[in-house]
Amino acid sequence: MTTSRTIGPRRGPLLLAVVAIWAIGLVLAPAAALFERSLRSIDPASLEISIELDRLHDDLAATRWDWERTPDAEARADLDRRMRLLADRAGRLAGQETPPRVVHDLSTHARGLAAEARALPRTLGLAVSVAVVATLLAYPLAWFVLGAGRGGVGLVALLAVPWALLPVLRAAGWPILVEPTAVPLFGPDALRFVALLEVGLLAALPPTLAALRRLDPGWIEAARDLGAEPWIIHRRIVLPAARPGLAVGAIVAFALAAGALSTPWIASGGHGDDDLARLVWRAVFDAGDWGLAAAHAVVLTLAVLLGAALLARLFGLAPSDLLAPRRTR
Amino acid sequence: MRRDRPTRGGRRFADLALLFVAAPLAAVVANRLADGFVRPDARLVDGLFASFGLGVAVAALALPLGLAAALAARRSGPRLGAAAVTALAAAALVPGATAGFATLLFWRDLGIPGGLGVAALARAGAAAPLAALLFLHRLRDLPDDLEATARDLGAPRRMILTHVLLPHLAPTAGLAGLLAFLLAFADHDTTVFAIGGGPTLSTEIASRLELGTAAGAETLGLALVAAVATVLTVVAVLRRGRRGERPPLTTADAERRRAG
Repeated sequence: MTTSRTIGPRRGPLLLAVVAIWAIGLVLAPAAALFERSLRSIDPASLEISIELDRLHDDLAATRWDWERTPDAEARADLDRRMRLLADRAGRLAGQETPPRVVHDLSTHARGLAAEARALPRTLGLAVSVAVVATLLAYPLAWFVLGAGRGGVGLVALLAVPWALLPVLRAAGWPILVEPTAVPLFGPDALRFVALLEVGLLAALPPTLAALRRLDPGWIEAARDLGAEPWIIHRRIVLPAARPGLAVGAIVAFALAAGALSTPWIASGGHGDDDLARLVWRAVFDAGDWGLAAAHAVVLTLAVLLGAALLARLFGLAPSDLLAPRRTR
Repeated sequence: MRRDRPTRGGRRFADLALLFVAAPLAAVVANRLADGFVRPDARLVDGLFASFGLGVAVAALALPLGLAAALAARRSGPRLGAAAVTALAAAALVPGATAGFATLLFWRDLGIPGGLGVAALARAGAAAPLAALLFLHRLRDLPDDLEATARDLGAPRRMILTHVLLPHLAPTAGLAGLLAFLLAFADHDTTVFAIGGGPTLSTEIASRLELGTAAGAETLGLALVAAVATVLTVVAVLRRGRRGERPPLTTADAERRRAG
């Protein structure tokens, strides 16, 4: 990019500094904290003495309990000797006790592996199906919305705002409509799919609409005047024009479905196996194990971002497209 | 955009899509009609205000930060710019649960517990990149020669910003602001971690659904949706009444119009 395209007041360094501060403060530093937490564990060797001390004190308390309740003098003397021995050992060990040593290794990740191995395939399978179906539906839907003229787009906007207001409440409707455990074949997962499809469809529609609005209707008229069949018009003119929008829509639908926490859970009425995001939630709110939650969150994020990158490559979406001036079709 | 009238099959398809989107909310309404509406308690009302504050705070953060990032990405070289776009997209796509939990961890390590502030920062971490991407998308429509002409005519850079760029970006700013507000107001997945036990409307509804005591929460939620839908419909009807000549939506529209 040449200097003739630079814009705004000449405050490049200031602008960059502002962006760097927010990128670090809002995104990078929390991500780093999460990653560090997922690697952090306590060296079990550093706890050995403390564990032994706990054991000695337990033993001591039990022996004293016996001693207080034994009338037999000989037995009492025996117990007394034992108590002295235990107290002696505890006293010596107490001086050697070390604070727990924090180490960085993969042991927390290893703990999370089994649950992740179960949750990852189902999460990705669900997200990919949502992305595929949402994209397939977004194309004809966008076409018909635009066919209804500017009023159609306005109607979508009018519906979308109340729709977007409380997704939690919307998800709650599905288990009312269908008993989650009574769905044949897929069970509660079918409701998760349907609820996530709704999210994905409404996320995929705007980029598809935006892409199709760029299409000059003159192209379609010309093709029709030249005798092209409707499906040829779609394949050669409309679909290529919609393609970047569909790509963005598929990526967003995939990411939203794969990372969703409340929507699938509420939609299936709490029935069914855990998805990845639910594992993070459980580790925090059920187990209070923040290290494990961090490990699950790292895996979830990598799965979502790698999947999105793969989809972008599949659709031939390049980041530089967003910087180049638009070519009109 | 002028097109042919939609076919009957197309209309039916659109109606089905509409039904699909409306059905679950209708089911909640039917459920409430059967079981009765319940007056929401004080914690729910607090949650409603908290959600509103969260939405306003995130929109206020996301717009300037997103604008700064978009301008910075556009003025940096092609390679750095592409890297910036990739980073912005990645940040916008990070799962809500990750963003909420990571932000909670980070600020707790600094001695700041979860709450509305941390929740706003967590949500802005996704909303600001989204705003930046929308701004970049809009900037693609800005004709190159417009800036060049302004500069050739001797306009200072600040003036190019205020007279060329910002007016061009204004509609997108409205959209990005609304989106940031909605995504924060409606959010559950990020907020449930970052809010630190306080109420927001979405997290309250979700936790009460799990406990099976959501009657009041559903009533409040439905009342809110109904109120917003009513206001929007009234606004739309009023606007339709005085729809005259509108400013062109894009430069392409304007050119088309000029060409007749």
